[in-house]
Amino acid sequence: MKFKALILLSSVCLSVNTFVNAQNDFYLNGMGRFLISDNRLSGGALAGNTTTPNKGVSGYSIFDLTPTIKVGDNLKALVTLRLKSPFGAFFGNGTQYQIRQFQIGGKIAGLVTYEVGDINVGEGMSKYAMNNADDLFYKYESQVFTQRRQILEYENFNFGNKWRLQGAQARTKLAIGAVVDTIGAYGFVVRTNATNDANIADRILTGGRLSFIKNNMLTANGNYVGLLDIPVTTTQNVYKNHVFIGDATYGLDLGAVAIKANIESGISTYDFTSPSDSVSYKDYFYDGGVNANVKGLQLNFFGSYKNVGPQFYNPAAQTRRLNVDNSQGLFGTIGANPRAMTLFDRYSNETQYNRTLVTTLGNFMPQYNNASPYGTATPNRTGITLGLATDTSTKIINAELKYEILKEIIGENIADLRNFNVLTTGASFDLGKFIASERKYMFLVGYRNEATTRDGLAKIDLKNSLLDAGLSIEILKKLDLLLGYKKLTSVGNELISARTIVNKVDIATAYKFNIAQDILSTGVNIKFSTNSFLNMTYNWSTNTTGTTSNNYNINQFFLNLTVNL
Amino acid sequence: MKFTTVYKSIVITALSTLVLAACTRSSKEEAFLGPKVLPAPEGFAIQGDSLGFKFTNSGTSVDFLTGTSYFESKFSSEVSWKVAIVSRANGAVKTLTGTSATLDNVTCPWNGESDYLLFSNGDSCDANLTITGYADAANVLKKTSKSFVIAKSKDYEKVINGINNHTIVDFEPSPGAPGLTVPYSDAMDSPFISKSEYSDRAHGKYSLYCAGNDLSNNGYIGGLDMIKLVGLVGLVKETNANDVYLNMYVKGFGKMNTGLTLLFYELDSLHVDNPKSIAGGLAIPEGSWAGLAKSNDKWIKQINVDWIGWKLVSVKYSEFKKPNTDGCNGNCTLEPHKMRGMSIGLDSYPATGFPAEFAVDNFVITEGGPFKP
Repeated sequence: MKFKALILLSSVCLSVNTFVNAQNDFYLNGMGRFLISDNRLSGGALAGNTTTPNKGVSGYSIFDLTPTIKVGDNLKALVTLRLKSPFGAFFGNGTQYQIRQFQIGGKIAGLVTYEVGDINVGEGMSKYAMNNADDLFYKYESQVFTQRRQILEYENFNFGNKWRLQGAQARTKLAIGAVVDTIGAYGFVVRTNATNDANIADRILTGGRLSFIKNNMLTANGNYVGLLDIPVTTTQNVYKNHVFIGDATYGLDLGAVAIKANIESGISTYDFTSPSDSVSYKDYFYDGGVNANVKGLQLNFFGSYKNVGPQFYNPAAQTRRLNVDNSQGLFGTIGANPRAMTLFDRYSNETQYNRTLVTTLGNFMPQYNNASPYGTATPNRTGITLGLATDTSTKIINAELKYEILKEIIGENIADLRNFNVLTTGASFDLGKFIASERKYMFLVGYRNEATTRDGLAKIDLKNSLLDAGLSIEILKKLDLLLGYKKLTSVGNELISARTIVNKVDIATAYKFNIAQDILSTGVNIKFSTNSFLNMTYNWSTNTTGTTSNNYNINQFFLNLTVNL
Repeated sequence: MKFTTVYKSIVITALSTLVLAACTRSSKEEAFLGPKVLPAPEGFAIQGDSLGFKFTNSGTSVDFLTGTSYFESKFSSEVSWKVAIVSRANGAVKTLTGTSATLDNVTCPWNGESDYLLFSNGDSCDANLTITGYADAANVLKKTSKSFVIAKSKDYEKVINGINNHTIVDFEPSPGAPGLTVPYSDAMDSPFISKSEYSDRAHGKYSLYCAGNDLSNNGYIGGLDMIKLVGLVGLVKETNANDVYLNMYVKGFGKMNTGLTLLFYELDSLHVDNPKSIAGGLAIPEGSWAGLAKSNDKWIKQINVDWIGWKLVSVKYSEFKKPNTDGCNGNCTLEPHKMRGMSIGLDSYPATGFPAEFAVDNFVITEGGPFKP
């Protein structure tokens, strides 16, 4: 079987090569990676437990080869072939062969660019229209964590905030020059669920964005996203969700200060018909803000106000990147109990990511983000955001301070409303640039503090904090010393409401939190080239809950050798 | 400048229009979303730390044929509570929830219905009361329990909320509803296992278990010869196939290519091979259905049993289709009031060549809607 794949690949390459001429291109990209981790589990949770495995070595090696054919500007086709061998497999036993992605694209008439196949959907669209966001604040985390996270993002095709789906998309930009300078158009259609030709419908996601740009200081845009079932004969559930959004940005340069104002507004309609329940919702949101760039201070001052309705539903913007219900790949159970996701798992577990859109607001863990668990478009939120940040002209120090005061629009399971106060801040300091050194000396610190309160008969008081600190120092040429620290604390109580299949708020379950998670990671990074490196780290993570019998530690040695062609 | 001013006006107007046109929220009339939930406050207590179970009729036995029951308790304040009733016999569950300061015949009645599987005569049950937010130091909800025995379980053989229920086979020993009879199988797939006294059941004491392996790769593994649905004569009156459901409890074992095949036979007319007459046009003739099939309809439905555990499956009679072979020899119309026979089969489905395994229990035909336990 393995030789068949190699023969096929060789034949394709050879066949293609014979057709290459001066106008066509054929090239290969590739990425090889070897990962290995040595893991140890310990702590009070294992006291008296002789059945739970408490150590193990795991890893794999992969080789992704991407041959790409370009025929002028009109056609481009690429496929990524993967060979994956799990750690411990000798002579290729257990090796998997798969096609990781396939895409055809090109340009039509020099105006319209298109892609078909495995595509990243949502470029340039409003975050209320299309968003694949992680609810955890990690903007100022150490490189030692970022490099681990990048492995997950690569494996799950998380590029920015777009969704990787299968379908087709196209875009064009036309210079008009009359009322507007440029009109941009973008559209896509993908299938998120396949029919079984019996009782499950095809589910199609379609949408796009129309932009009108004048002088790069005034833009007006329309966005549409629709998630629709195409019923078959005996379909039991039929789902339809339409979202229409308009947004505009206006900029004014007054010399010392440049001001940018933006406003965004949209509506959603949701219809779900099933044998057990049928519902229709309609709701809206609006979000407006101002940003003032004081050039002399190299600072941006910003403020915004938003109101997102409790039944504003858009799976393309509200599906969580992480699925907290997935089991953990590392030490999945302790005794008879499944191990819940921790801070450590969030940047190290490849199988925790959602790879498709879900129509119901997914479960979340409030200790990581209770105010915006579904990203910017989290429903049932209204309030203001104020802050300041360094502008892009600063190269040595980047810093920001943001304060959000949000509350619910309507209560969940009780009339009283939750209030959320969120402080987010962070800074990075590039000492290397500061002292004009060729070496890299980077220091980072980030902090997020969130308080959730509710008065009345169902009181809530939950305080979460997350601290990030780290440094990376180039101690020798191309040899970096990495150090990173994360600390999460969550104390208090919360009532988390379940959602039915039609997104109705259901019974709430009470939870008490007394969580402290610490991660200390240290290691070295040896760079062979811009994108090729050897990374070795040791990680100490502790998870305490106030009850010794639930506490545990995971210690891990991790090695990552990545070579990019 | 003129264009910019005009353009700005257009944009602002368009956005305002959009916002104004959209200013409707489905939720604006509600005080809050979802059911009311009140957690236990500080100092909460259950009076006497006890849960009582009362039966409306005098006497000591719990007989749902003659009365209903309710749970009794008093709390120090209004809270959201849950009473979970579990049968020790087969794990049947009923969950009662509410928000009140007491449990009584108004707030917490129970007439023997279930959410998962069915309660049966003689079942020993445990009822556990938990209160939202009322937990111990380890964050485990405190439970207050009560045990009791069900003498007579809920009777479903009647019209309940507009749905007429007819149990046609329950795999209990006589005098229960007749079970399916002689098993038959693909000789190439031997052995085909069928156990008619399988103790893991949805109701009663037994269910039917089937397992086999499609070694011949033709999809068919085995089945059980049909029963004569004599009990349906005169009972199923509905003529619209959309209003008749076949309901059954099916247990999957996680074998993804397990197919449960259901076959229904309708009596449109007699065939000359079977000369026995029908008295009054209602009695079922004796003899082989093979002969009758030549001039009557047979309808098929395949269900992919790709789950693990018991599940209530309800199939609309209108979803049954003409078989590929040997069917639709009558008037080729789905007529539920003419149902006279049923058989089931075990297949490798949707893909052939795989092992398959299921258990089934409590087949109920309903008119007017799916079975609601």
